[in-house]
This record gives sequence, C-alpha cells and structure tokens, in this order.
Amino acid sequence: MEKNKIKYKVLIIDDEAQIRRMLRMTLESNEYKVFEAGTAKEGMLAVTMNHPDVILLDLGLPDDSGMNVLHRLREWSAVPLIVLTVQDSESVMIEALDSGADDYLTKPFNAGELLARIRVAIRHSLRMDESPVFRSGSLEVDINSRITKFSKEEVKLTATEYSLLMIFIRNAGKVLTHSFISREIWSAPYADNAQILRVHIAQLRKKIEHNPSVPELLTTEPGVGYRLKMLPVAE
Amino acid sequence: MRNIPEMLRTSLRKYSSRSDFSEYIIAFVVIALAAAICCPFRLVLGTNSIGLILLMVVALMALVLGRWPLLFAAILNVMVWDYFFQEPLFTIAVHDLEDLFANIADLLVAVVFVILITRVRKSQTILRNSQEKLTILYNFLEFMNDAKSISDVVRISESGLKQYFGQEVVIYLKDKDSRRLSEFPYGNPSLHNPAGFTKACDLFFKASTGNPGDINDCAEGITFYPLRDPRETIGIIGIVLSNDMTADKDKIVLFKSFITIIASTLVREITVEKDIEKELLEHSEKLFRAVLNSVSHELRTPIAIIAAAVDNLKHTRTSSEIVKRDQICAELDSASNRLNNLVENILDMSRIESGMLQLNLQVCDIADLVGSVVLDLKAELNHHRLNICIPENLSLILADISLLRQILVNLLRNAIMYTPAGTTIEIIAGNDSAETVLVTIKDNGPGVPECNLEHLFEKFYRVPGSKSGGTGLGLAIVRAFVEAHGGIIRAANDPQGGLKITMKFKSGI
Repeated sequence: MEKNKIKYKVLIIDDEAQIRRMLRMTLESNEYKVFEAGTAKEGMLAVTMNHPDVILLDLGLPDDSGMNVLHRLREWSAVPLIVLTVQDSESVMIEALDSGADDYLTKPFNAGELLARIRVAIRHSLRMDESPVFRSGSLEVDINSRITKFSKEEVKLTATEYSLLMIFIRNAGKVLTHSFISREIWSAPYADNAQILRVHIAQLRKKIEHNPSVPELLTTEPGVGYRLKMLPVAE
Repeated sequence: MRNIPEMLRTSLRKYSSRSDFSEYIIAFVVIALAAAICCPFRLVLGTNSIGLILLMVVALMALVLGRWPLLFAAILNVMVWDYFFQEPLFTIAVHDLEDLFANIADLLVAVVFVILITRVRKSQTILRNSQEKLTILYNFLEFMNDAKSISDVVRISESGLKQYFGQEVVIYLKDKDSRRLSEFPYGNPSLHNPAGFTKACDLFFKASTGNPGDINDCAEGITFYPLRDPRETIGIIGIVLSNDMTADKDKIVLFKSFITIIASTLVREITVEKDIEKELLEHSEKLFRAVLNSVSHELRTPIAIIAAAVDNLKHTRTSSEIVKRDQICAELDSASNRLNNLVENILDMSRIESGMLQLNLQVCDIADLVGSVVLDLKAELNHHRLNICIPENLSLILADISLLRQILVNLLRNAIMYTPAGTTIEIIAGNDSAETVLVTIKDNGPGVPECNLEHLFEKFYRVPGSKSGGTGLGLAIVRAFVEAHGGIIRAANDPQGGLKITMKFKSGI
C-alpha cells in the first residue's frame, strides 16, 4: 500500500458519533488527517475552515438534507465528495452523482472499499494519473500508441469501444452514470442510447474480461451505471 | 341472489273472503234472470220443474259466491218461486199443503247445500292459508340460508318483514364483548330513538335473565320482541305493528315464526364469526411465536458471535497471534454480514406488509444484473460451482432493479445455504415467448419434499428438518417482489435432482 507522504485531510459529515469514531480510526491508521462534523451547518463551516481534500457526506443529517449540502457546496467548491447512504435507492444515488458527488458508498461498507474510493477521488482531483500506460488487473492500455492488451495479448477495439474505454480510464475507479457516459460519447440523453450502450459494454467486456458473464473489471452498478475497477496488476 | 320482494309477493297472494255487496247484486240479478227466462215456459214445464231449475241455479252460484250472498240467494229463490210461479200467482201466500211442503223442502235443500259448500270451502281456505304460510316461511328460510354475514341476515330479514307485513324494523344486537345491547341499530335508523332503545334494553335484560315466556314491550309505537334461541338472547327486534296486524291472529303467529328464523340464523352467523375470529387469532399468535423464535435466534446468534470475538480480541494473548486474530476478524465479518442480511430481509418484509412497496421501474438487463449479483456474492459462492446460461438476445425487462437484485440475492443465498459444498448452482434465463422472460435458479441439492413445495413461499415457513439459520422470510420476500412486478414464481423438484425455482416476467420496454 502506498504511503501518503503528505497527510491528506478528510472531513466526515455524519450525525452518528460511533460511525465517525470508527471512520476516524480507519482513516488515521491509513495516514489521513481527519475532521468531523455532526450536522450540515458544522459541516459547511468545517469545509471553509479546514480545506479538506476529500469529504465523506452522510445523506441523512439532522438539520438539513445531505443533498442540499451537496448542492450548496458545489456552488463554490470542487473538492472531491463521497456520499454515504443507508438504503440503496438508485434514484437518490444518481441524483447525488449528477449533482456533483464523485462517488457513493452504501452502509454498511468495508474499510477497504472506502479507502479505495478515497484514493481514487484524491487522485482524480489532483490529476495524479498522467501516466501514458493504464494498468488494472490483466488490462493494459497504452494511451499514446492506442494499444490495448489483455493478458499480455493485444486486442482489437472498434472506435466506439476505444472511446468508451478511454472514458472509463479517465475516470478509473469512479462510478459513471449511464447518462454521463451517453453524454460523453453521443452528446445525447441515455434514454435514446440505452440499448446501444448496453451492447457496446457487452462487446467490450468480451474483450477485456476473463468471464464476461461475471465481469470483474468493468462492473455494473445496478440501476446506476458502470465502474472500471482499479485492480492489482496481474503478473 | 334472487329478488326477495318478487318471491314473497307471489307466495303472499292473500286469500280474500269476497263477501261484499256486489255478490248480493249478482245473486239477485242471476235469480231474476232465471225467473224471467222461465216465465214463458211456466205452463209447459210445470211449477215443480221450474222450482228445480231455480234450485240448480242456486247450486251453480254456490261455486262462485260467498256464504252470506248464497244464503240470500237461497231465500230469494224460494220467495221468487213462490211469488211468480205458484198458484195463486203474485202472492206469497200458500194455498195448499203440497206447495207449503215444496217451499220448505226447497229452502231446506238450498240452505243445507250452502252450509255444506261453505264448510268445504272453509277447510280449503284453511289448508291453502297454512300452505301459503309454509311457503312464505320456507322461502324466507331459504333466503336466510344464503346469508353469509350478520349484515346479510339483517338485510334479508328487513326486506322480508317489510314485504310481508309492510313494516319497517329496527334490530339491536348484543355487543360482542359486553353483555349489554349495542347502541348501533341495524335496519331502519329512523326507528332508533332513545326511549325505544331504553325499552329495548329493559326487554333484553328481562329476556336474558331467564324469563322464558312470550314477552314483548312497546314504546313510541314500536313493539319490541326479543331475538333468542334456547340458550341465549342475542338481540331485540322492533317493529311498528299496524292495526291490520294486531287484529289478525294468523299474522302475529307468522310474524313470530319469522322472528324465530331470524334469531336462529343470527346465532349461526355470530357463532361462525366468532370461530373465524378465534382461528385468526390463533393463527396470528402462532405466526407471532414463529417470528419471535426465528428472528430472535437469528438476531442473537451474530450478536453473540460479535461479543465473543470482541472478548477474544481484548485478550492480548489471543489477539497477538496473527492467525487467531485473522480468524476472529473473519468471524466478525461474517457475523456482521449475517446481521445485515437479516435486517435487510426484515425491512423488505415490513415494506411489503405495510403496502409501501413502490416500484421504481426502469429498463433492466438481467444478464448484467446477474453478473453484478454474482460478483457481490463471490465470497459466499466460493464453495459452489456456478453455471450461468443467459443468451445474448435476452429481452430487456421493465423492473425495479434493487428489488430484482434482492430476488436474485435471496435465491442464490438459499441455494448456497441448503445445498452441499461442491455442487453446481445454475442460473438460466431465456425468452419464453415474445412477451415473457423466464429466469431459473437451479441447484443440485437434495430438493424439497413434494408436500412442502407449496408452502415454500409462505412467510416464516421453513421446510421441516432444514438446518438452522434463516428466518423463513427470504422466499416470501422473493415471491412478493416477483408478484409486485406482475410476474409468476414456481418451485419444483428437478427430475435429475435439486430444487428449481422459475420466475416468469413480462418483457419489453
């Protein structure tokens, strides 16, 4: 696991003290500096005071809805934000993502997942992955020469498949909503392209997954979208 | 249901004794006519023959006329014969003994004839009346037999009584829980008034404290009768008795028979209702016990594991050994997972039970969903082989993705839990027809005894002898979710072994 030379600051906005304590324990043992806020008001204040690198926002706050906090925050700040929810309702998740949240986690989640999401969020906000070669699991993409390899063997991608893969690589580790992908590729709403997107994803999976019926790299977030996972590079 | 008023009307055609004035006129006119016709033939036929003809006319009239008009006709007959046909003509005076004798005989025969005829007719009337009464009661009984609830009984008695006696009724029934009369009136609410209700209560008290006699009471023009069977008094019926009714003894008797029928039917319905209530109560108690047993066991087990794990972690000697610590952590992990699954199931069930289930329908690709569910359950699926068979051209369906996901998760977890390690679990999907998609989860475990298959989707039902763990909620939730989508779910044992659960969904966007 990479050591964070500089301590990144994480702000937790959650009304449950016990959750905050556990998160603090997890994060501090992974070299993050942690700030806590129990209400929306405290949270907004803490954002201005402490300039966190990542915010973990619980959607159910006692004084205001987390969604409102998200909206107000995005008016002036682009700080990476991960939404925490209890019940997995896709429409809430999509709304949060479309309102500018970087990712989401449904409680209960495990620490590994949380840390992975935080790492992805920080890396994206700091534009850390400018490396010309993307690697995850058995997938290797050389962005300059446009060569895609899977299990060390070159695979031929169509133009659409390649641009689709590039969108995922640019946002590696992040969940991408159907409508986001659709806008990026076709500049059109998802409803018009649902079927086409599905087919392209299926085609892409056949080329970059060991078992396309149970994808492990390009996974489905049911009802929300897709995610290109950051897996340990296969030997 | 047949039309009650119609039926009763036909059976209630009342016999009327037509002894009104018109019959006297008929008698008079007929005799006058007969006399007039006979007049020209007086000399040809002879006095006695004409007497016989007139007597025959009276006899014929006996077939249609009432008792008193007939008697009148008989006397008129003798007088006309005497006056117009016997010498000396146009006098009532009788000259010889023979004529006197003939007159008396004529009168006697006519009167005896009338008496006999009326007697026959009277017994006929009685017979017909009692038959009609029987028919009425029989019809009423038949309608009552069709009654399926207390309100049915009240409705039928109301319309029956109204039809036959032309009167509105009000019925008070005994309160279910107390021993008093309920203040809620059935029947015509306009007959309900405080004074009447007080009287009804008094009467109810009198009747239920063992007064066996034929009692009734009266207030504000309403007469109250107790409704009772040999064991108890169940209510009071109030009716406005018309003069016509109080005068007619037969009607009162019939009315009382009605009341007896109403009372016994009500008793029947009340007993049935009590039985159903009792059964429901027993059922819900049983269910509650089952819930308590399974849920409390399922809740406490992971909590006990967590508590024990924490104790072990506190113990420095245990926690310093990395292998043991990892073991403890794995236990903690699975316990919290188990708790989470249980909470999810209970929440889903309460969502279903409260009727708050709202579908958030969107286009859904089953292949995609299966992939993501299998990935989520990867750790649990470790000890089983998985075989996914989904064609590429599988139709999309319109579904609530999180519910559909829960369906798959529950079915897969069941398959994992109740089949031995190393067996294969199959997920098969296909286009059943142009409009339907079939999804099947098949395991290669021991299957479920045929007799238990039909209960498999019942809430809190667990196949007897199945291993502990589980609440009996999973499949009930699955069925509720499938049905919420308008789908069908069936369980069957595969001929080659294993349980096969098949779901059918409507396809299309």
